[in-house]
Amino acid sequence: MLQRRDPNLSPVICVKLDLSNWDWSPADHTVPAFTRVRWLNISKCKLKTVPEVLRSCASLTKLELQDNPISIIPDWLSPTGKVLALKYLDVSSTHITTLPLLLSMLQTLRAFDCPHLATHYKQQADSIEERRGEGKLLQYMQDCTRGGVQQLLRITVTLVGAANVGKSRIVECMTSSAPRFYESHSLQELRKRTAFPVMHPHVYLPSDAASSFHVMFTDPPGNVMQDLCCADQRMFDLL
Amino acid sequence: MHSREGDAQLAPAVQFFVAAENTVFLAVIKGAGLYMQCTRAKASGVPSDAQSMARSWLSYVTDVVSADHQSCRSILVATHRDKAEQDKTLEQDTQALNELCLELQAAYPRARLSSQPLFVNALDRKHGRPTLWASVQLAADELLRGQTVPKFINACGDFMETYVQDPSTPKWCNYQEFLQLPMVKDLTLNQQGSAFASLRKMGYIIELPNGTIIMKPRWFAAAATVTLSPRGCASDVAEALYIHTDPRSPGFITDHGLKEQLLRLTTGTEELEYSRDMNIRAIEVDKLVQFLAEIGILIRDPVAKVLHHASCGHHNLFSFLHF
Repeated sequence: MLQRRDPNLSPVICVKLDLSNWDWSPADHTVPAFTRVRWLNISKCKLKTVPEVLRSCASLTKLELQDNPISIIPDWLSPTGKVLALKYLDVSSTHITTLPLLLSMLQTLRAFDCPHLATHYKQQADSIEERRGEGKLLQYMQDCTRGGVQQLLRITVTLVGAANVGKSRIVECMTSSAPRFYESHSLQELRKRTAFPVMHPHVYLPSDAASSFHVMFTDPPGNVMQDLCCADQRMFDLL
Repeated sequence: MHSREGDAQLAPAVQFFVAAENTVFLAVIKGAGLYMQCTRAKASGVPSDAQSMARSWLSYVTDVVSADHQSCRSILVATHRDKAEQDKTLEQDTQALNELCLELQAAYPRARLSSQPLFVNALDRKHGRPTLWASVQLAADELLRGQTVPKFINACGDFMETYVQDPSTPKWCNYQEFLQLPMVKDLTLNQQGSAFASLRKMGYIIELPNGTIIMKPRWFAAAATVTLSPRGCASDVAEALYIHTDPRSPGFITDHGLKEQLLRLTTGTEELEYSRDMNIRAIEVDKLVQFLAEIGILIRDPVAKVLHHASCGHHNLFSFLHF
């Protein structure tokens, strides 16, 4: 078992260090500096962030971070950041939502079973080919690096609620243009309407923002049923 | 509490129409008269309709978010502000709305309900529109902060927005045909897979269990709704479209009868427009019925199963009877 040491003492000099399952607080400053470590396993350590001490690991080539509730991979954790020799990174079964494109410079990147990962990455990361070790995720990230990335500006607005409560009106109001001074401020009160759900894409340009964002309005068909005995009437009422 | 977190039930087919990524849920209730409703509910110990509805839907939201590991924001929106002003109950109703919002926030933490409920007149473009957008924009900013995607993902979304507006483009396709779309075919194989997954998650396309891809979800959702509605929506301002079933066996209809009605309902209904070519129309409605069966909105023939559903209250499920 590794003993915690004063950081002022000499750094750990070893090639391979397995600290998996160690209850290691990221705020703990008494961990050793891993200057010379080349292979570090800190999986299953309940880490919520990538330990800052890894910034000093310029020699690290293989890092196993899997099975930790980590949500962000910092930019410095890459061959162009502070971990210059990094070639292998495993972030499987973590809470990450995205992958910095700088990681496309690695030789191996594993990110299986990350439920919060953006869909376009997850599609690659969980693929059978990737699990066979074909590097599909890295290849995809390299493609992305060449094509460039941009801010995601797409959301879905889903309206839920009872019938005749004003859901369609809200969509109509939000997708209408702002009224000009000579136009009526009010939408027509009585109108021909169907009970159709809305699945309506809309582009919104906020007055104070440089770029527009795309909204997919949805109003799902169907109904919440609180109990089955009144489900029938409620279903009819809501639809 | 009448409703607990995660106990909502939803028609199973609805999962196909709910996008599950970066979603802002607007839980809509009627605000006018809310104070009176809540007061009566407190006295009787039975939750008001607005309370029950909001709880049920937020429970549903919780289920969706949990199942998809999705991040979302929810906003409680009360409507009919003009009525509350007219009835001079605005202040009391606003107070009841705020209390309800606090209660829901505590009961459904995973729905990430905003602490600022909205009380709007949805007919009012001058005040209602900016109020709604300000709140949605705030929620969207929180959701999208730090999220970057490859440019082609946004480009594919733009492409689909144009695609659905073109009546000449196919309403469905298979995966190989999807890969031949102008925006998709020039991508690498890996990018194509990611583009497909992203479009599906964002609700631009629907993938059926048999692999068919619905390219115009609005068309499919409209057909699903009329088929799910055995009778009309009780409103004097709404023209409800629904399928007439056999009066001797409510809920039952022949294959031919259903197709005929689905075609007849197209007149002046943008969402359900079919091709003008009679042959293509016939194929479209035929496929539509197949797709509806595919997601369980229609059940073919097994009478025992239908009767079982009917006894559970699912009268909205149709069956084909070939008499």
